[in-house]
Amino acid sequence: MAIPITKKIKLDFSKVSRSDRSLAKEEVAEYIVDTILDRVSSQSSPVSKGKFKPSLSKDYKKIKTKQGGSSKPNLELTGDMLDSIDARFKGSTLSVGIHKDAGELNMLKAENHNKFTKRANKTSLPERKFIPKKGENFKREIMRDIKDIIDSYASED
Amino acid sequence: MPVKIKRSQKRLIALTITERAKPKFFRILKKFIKSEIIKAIESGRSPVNKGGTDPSGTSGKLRFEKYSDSYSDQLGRGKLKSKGKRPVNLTVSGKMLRSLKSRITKNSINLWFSNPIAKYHDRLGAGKKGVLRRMLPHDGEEFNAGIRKRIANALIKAIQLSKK
Repeated sequence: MAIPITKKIKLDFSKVSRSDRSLAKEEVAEYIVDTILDRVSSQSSPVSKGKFKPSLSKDYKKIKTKQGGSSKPNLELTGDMLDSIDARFKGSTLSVGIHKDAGELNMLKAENHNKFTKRANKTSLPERKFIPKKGENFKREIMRDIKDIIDSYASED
Repeated sequence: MPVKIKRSQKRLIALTITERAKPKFFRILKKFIKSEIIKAIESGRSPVNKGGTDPSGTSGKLRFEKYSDSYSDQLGRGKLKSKGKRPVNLTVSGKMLRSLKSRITKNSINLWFSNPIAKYHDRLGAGKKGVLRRMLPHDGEEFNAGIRKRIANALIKAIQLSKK
């Protein structure tokens, strides 16, 4: 059974007024999804020290281009997995990635690409990490941008 | 006693600094905004927030709507031989994307596509279903959050440069 491939990050909105909080959260959610997609399309991992194998195998390249995909490793064959990347908030905790409602297949693809579990490590699928697992985080500049976005909504003492 | 700065005042301070940093900011902005827009489109993302606020014909999502089945069937053949189904990047020859122009005025930067095909993707709708794949924000709309943040970062850079 496939599992959701998500990263939960607790963020500090205490300096943001209650009326601005939903706006700030919406902006953070949009920013993180755009940034993940941006990094993946330029064949780099948004995860700190995350691997992103820079080339496709010869055989897979043939299959992928025949099916109308790009010859670059952009994690996009049908596009369904990338379409299902979503960011949502529960309280002040951001949850980003492939959630349960994305469907089994998309969760499974993401699990294997991200080497999220022990069983994913056993597959031959190369690592192209776009969601950090437990103990990992997004790159420092991404986290800094998120903090900046929240700060821009803050009313300071 | 600590002084409380409200958001509106913070904006005023920011605007005052911006006035000084404006020329540098626009120079920096001009350099990267076009490449940001094109990079987003080429990777299948709309540069417009939530793909645009016009609900008719848009997916309301960051990623562009898939190509129609009938258009997908034509890909890989004839004039569209080198075009793939994915990503949905609005690129056949690349002419339309290359036609993105920019001009700096006193207080703004104007952006537009000079290629006539652009209006079908951005305003009128493409194909039988009239699908919109929005490329530039219209009045009252914004760029997507990623591009907005990179613009904000450019502004910070301009302010730092103007202090030197």
